[in-house]
Amino acid sequence: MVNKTNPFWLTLLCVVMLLLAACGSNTPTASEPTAQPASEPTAASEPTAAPEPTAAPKEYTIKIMTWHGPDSNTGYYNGYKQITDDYTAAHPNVKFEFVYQPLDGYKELLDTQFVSGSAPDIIQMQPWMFGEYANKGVLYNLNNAYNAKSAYAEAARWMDTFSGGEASFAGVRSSNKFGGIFFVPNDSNATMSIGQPMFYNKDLFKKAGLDPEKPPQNWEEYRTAMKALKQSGVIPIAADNGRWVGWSLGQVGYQFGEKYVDQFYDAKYTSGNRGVEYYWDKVYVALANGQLENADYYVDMLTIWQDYAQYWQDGWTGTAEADAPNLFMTGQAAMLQAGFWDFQGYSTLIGDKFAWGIFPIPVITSATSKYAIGKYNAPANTQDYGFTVNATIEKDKELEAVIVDFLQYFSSVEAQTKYVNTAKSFSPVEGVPVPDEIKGFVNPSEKASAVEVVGSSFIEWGDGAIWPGLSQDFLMGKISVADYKAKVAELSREASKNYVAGMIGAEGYAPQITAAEAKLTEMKGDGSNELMVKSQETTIENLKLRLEMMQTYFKP
Amino acid sequence: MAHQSVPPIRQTPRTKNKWQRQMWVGWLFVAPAIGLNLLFDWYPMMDGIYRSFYRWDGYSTAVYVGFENFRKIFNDTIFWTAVTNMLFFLVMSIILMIPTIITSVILFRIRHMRAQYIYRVLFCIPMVVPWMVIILMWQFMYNPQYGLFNRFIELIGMPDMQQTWLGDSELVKWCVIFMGFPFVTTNAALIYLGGLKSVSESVWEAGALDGVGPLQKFFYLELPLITGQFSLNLIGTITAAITGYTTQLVLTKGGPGFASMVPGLYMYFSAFKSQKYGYASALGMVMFVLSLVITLLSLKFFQKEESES
Repeated sequence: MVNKTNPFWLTLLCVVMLLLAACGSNTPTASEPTAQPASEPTAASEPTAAPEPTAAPKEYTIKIMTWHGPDSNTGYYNGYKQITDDYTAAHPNVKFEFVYQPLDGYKELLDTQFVSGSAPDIIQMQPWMFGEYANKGVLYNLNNAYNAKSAYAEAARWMDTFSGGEASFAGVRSSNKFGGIFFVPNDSNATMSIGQPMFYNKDLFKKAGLDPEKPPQNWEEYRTAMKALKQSGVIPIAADNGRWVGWSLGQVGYQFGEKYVDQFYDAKYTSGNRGVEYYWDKVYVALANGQLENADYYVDMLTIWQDYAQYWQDGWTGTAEADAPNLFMTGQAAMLQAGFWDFQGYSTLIGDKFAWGIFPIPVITSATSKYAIGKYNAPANTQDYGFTVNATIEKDKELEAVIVDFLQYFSSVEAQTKYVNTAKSFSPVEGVPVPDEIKGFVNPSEKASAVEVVGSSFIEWGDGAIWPGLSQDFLMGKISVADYKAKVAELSREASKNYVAGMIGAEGYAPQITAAEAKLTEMKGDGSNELMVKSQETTIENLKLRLEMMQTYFKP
Repeated sequence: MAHQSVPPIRQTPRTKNKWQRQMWVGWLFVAPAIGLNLLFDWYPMMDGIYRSFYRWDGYSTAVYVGFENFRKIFNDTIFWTAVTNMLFFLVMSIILMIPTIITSVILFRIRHMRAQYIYRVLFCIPMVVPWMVIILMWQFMYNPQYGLFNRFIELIGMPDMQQTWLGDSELVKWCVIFMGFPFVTTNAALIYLGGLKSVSESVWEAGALDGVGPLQKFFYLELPLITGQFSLNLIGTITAAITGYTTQLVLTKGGPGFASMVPGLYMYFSAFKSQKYGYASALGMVMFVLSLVITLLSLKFFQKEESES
């Protein structure tokens, strides 16, 4: 007898199997922890002191996104890996997976991941990203964790273990509508003026008749050096068509406009901590109102910037970011701007090919422009670079506890001391020494005292799709100073208007105030400690004042 | 004579059930394709149309703005610069379809089957090199300081002729076009070859008997006989030129200034650098309409040519 299989059921079976195969996954992630019993994170001060589990602990794989990959010639990845390995050694049920994406394309990937709900658990971010993503509601608010004691430090609150303490988080709170803290700082220090200096080729300086041991101190000397280098047939500065546009603007721009924005506001919003804490809101409102468009220093600032471009290599607008360092490494360009994060990699690449050194970005003095501040930015006393946490962890309280515990370990003196020596980086944690190799990146304290510098924010706060291209045209001399100023001002006015309208609107400060007040009531009811309650009250007061300030001054 | 009707097949309940079951099986077979098509092609497209009427940053609640995004596009000078650049790339891409046709015909004329096979394989090998790698290689060659072209110009003793290539607003578009050198597209060539091979041998024999020369053969036989394949490749070329932006993104970032900006790249920047997803969706819509109109006009032109001939 022939056993006939019904084609209907056979097809249905195939389709179901295909669908199951497509949907299945055998890798447990942090968002989908394995079904094993959970273990609470350790409260020990040493990561090696793992708790004795009473049952098989719940396993977690925490995804960390960073732009420092394993193939990088810097030590950052190794530094992070060292910390996660140490943590896993003490907590074998917690494993880590690094998601690497170079900075070029980092934000694009992150946006896609957030929109599709697949963003990693811990995400490295640049300073300008914190506020943006926090306001979108996709980041976890670490406020309560910061006000609680760290399991890895003696201080009363985790927040107090960072250099600059609570005050160093004031600016961080002001950058988002929640008044919250959304990241754990790393690779920076709020109490130091850490610069992004020029790396220079001493041999080429010598060839151009310059004293290689006396690099330029101010902008006039800088111009003289660049001129001499150009005349000697050397490219003075290695530039590129990507980040350099913003970096060079920053070099010039942020030497103008100290405390410029305060003149438009009542002292209530500018005095004391509020000067810094409400700073971003004040700048946004002033930009939206068009109040910064005719700042007296703009023409000088833009003229200096445009003049600067003549010392960059021919065809810089066609040079990719990765190619500019090549010009410096191969001895074709005499100077390259880079950060301390590049130090280790560049040291290896340059080797003994030529003698080199670093010098701080020369100060623009009154000899160049009467509007120049004439000093470096003071230590901002604001935490900046660091790692944020995906808001989705709130759905799993055990995972939330594990991640907070890991981040507290991450910022412990012990872990950070090991880290800075591996990565050759700075630490935001009090008591962690700066490695000798990168001490030269700290601006001299006697010259670093400028605060609340508005600088060129009216350019970079505009439409990110347009201002870089517009700036290239300006730097190539295709647009006049007046036209360029008018166009970028229009872009930043529009972007700021949208931002401020959003903050005043239904999804801005108002619901955050309501939520914060509800949280305060809950905290009082729960008998939360006095410090946490006080911190919450301050948050509410600041949110209300920031909303009031925007409503008072914004002219739609 | 009266119309002779075919007697209908009598459907018994049994055959009807069988037919219905088979229909379900058929639907089950095509269901994944339809589902995935709806999910990954139609849903994003419809969502794009919907979003184009909103101001949306990708996260917060979208605000309905009606035709505001479209009004802005028509007043956006950068968009029109991008369209002008795109038209340049489009015209050049169409002109540069010619080398592929000529190469395909030459390849087809190689009578030695083994030799033709070897050439075809050699032809296909570049297909396996990712386009991104090719772009990065050209970027390196265009580098003014250490790139191949300026080094070569220096080597032949004409250093004054050195250029900044991608850094020159006047040259950059030509540099992007020249990247396709020798302008032979493997996929398109294989399509033409397939077309030529499907023509009956008797056509070529008749041509040979009539004493048709190589040029006449090209213009009066081979070219007219691959018009269908040409139309197909033309649609691909038009669509790629209007919506594509990978080369510009990697090679020039649309610069210097906006000298090589194209609408697709502007759309990408608007979405991912400015978080203006609504505006980017509207740009996508405009590009879609542009692409559709230009493609239809081209097809209409070819249909007219065919019917006239």
